[in-house]
Amino acid sequence: MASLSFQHVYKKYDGGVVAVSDFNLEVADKEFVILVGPSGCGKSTTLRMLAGLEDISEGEIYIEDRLINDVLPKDRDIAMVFQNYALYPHMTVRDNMAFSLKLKKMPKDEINRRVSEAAKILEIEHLLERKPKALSGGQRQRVALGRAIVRDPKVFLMDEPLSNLDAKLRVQMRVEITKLHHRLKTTFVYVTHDQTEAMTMGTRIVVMKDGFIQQVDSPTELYDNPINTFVAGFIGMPPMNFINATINVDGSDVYVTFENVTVKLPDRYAVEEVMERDGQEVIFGVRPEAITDEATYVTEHPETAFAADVDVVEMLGAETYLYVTVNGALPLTCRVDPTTSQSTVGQVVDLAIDTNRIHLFDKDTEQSIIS
Amino acid sequence: MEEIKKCIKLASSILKTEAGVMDTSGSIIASTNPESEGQSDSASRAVMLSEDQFSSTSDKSYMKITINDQVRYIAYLNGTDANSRVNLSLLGEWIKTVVKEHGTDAEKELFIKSVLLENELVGEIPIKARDFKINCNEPRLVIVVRTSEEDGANTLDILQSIYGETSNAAVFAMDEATSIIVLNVAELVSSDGDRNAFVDETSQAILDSLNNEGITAYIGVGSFVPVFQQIAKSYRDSMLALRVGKIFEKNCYISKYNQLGIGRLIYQLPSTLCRMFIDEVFPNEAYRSLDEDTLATIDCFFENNLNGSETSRELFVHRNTLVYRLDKVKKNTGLDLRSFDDAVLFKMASMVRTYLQYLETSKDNMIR
Repeated sequence: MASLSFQHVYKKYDGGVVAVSDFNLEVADKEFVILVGPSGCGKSTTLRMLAGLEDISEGEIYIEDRLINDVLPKDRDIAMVFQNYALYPHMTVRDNMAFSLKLKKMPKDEINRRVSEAAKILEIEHLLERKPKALSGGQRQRVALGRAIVRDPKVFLMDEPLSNLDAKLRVQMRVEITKLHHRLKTTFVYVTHDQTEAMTMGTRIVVMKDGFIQQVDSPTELYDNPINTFVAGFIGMPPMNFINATINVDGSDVYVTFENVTVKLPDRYAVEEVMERDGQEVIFGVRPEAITDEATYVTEHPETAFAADVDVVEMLGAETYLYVTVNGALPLTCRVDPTTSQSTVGQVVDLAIDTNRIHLFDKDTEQSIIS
Repeated sequence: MEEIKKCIKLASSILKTEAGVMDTSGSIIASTNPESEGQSDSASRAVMLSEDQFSSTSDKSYMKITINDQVRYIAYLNGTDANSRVNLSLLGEWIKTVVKEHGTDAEKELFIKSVLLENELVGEIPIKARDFKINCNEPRLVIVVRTSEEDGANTLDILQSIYGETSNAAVFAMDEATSIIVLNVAELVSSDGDRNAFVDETSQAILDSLNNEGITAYIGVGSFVPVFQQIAKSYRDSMLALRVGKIFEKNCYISKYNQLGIGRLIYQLPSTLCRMFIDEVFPNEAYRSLDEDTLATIDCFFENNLNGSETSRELFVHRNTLVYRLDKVKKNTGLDLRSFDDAVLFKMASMVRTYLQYLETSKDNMIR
């Protein structure tokens, strides 16, 4: 169990390429932190610096109060789990789990005790004498986790550990890893490019892009209050609709206009940061679930209603996605309730926006206007 | 030694009495009773002087283990009756076979090393290979794994754990920091599998396994060769991949010979030619006038396919700042990076410069 501290950490390569820039993060003991972002954003590099597999160009990393910049990977008291299970094909599960302890010349009794305990936690006791080829993908991933657990590390590092699994198994293993975190009560740092994994597993999420931290927050905060268009677009599936719109101020009322549609914003937007942009373009962000085709809501909220052509209807069971076009020019995605939605392809449908769940971003900086 | 210990360990579950093996000076190297290990047996001298293969004292029987007409070890067993003699005889022969086999393994490893280093006559390779049961007519791939010297031993253990029990791979250490894997890829070739996918998966699995144990490693993957006789070529290619990757690729832990890109060309150029090219593109060492910010900007500009808007957004700088920096590059070097031709020239020259720097600083320079 350990806290982590990243202080002004940089990773620079020869030739001036900067993979990670001014990375600052405090991770509390027993926290489950997720580093998420698109490919090449520096998340794996950050994890590898923490693991000691990559040199730190500038800055300091601490595990508890111990500066680990120059500590060898094997002495950092960490364990890593990769996308590749990295199991030894000719060894049994038991030997696979014991391997790193044998390398450390740990006494046999202690090795056996740790392997048995880890196998019990992961419920793979019945697989201990099998070889990896006789295991399913999920079982192999459990063994990989087992190899990490037996080390009894202060910090678990996981680099896209579920990417090799099929969609169904991934969901199952997501739950397993979350349970494991609760059970082991250890600090977890988990890297993924999958925002669903990030949102469902982490207690805190670090969103990265181009080597920079964009936002560090809880899943709910990231979803409800994204700091910029990148975070807003990256978190949430289907992604947020971004609409180029103009701010119009009429007395104390604030409106946004796009494609001949005018939407009145709630009173909380009648603030200086918004009012001073009268006549200026902004990015109007609307999550798909904030647009509804429910007749009652549309009737009751004429100030946010507009018509659109339905291009595609995707019925997913618990929810329905409508892909619509406003005035033949602006494509939008809506997530509607399949029990009430009557929308069909080719139909012109009346929609309304729940303006309590909208976002405004500066057109140039792409930062949220109201924090 | 390890093999003998393993045998004795197995024997301890079969034999009801103490047994073991000592070297010719009488020092016990393995025993079913661990406390005896390291102790000396005074009877060894008499056993060695005896002309018989078997000898006995009042409570022990001894058997000399002779390999290639030379006594290498003495096996012993508590007891002098007929049964003890039979048990000792079986134990002695077992140890002898194991030692011989291990000797053969070591010789096989030496032979493969010798082929890799081109110390064998090509015509003799198939003849010698037959002795080691190596099928010369199957395709091979050589992979080089380089780590720090401290991690060398563990790396070899890990690689042997991955490939150890297969006849499809030979794994051994070339030096303290370099391990070699010679893979038999007949199955892949016959099944018409995707070679690139195989190389990607195999090299990544090796890297992940080593990383998992806290070992930083660099992997060079050679070319596929159709017969065993050509593994030296695959080895050369893997070493070249390792070097070129290290010079030109940032953040590169796996370098593949068939994916070296333009780095392959530059690496083959003579240094005098490289210097002439640099003097032509960057006269008066113009490159040195570019500061770190400008170099980072140029790199980002290239990564974004010369797209100014995307670059300025990514660098969090105003577009005018970017234009200013690119103008500065033009003023200092005479190259306008917004023009494709100049951008290509700059990119090539930067790589050549990186290569020259490597030549000046690297110890590998001595090897070339």
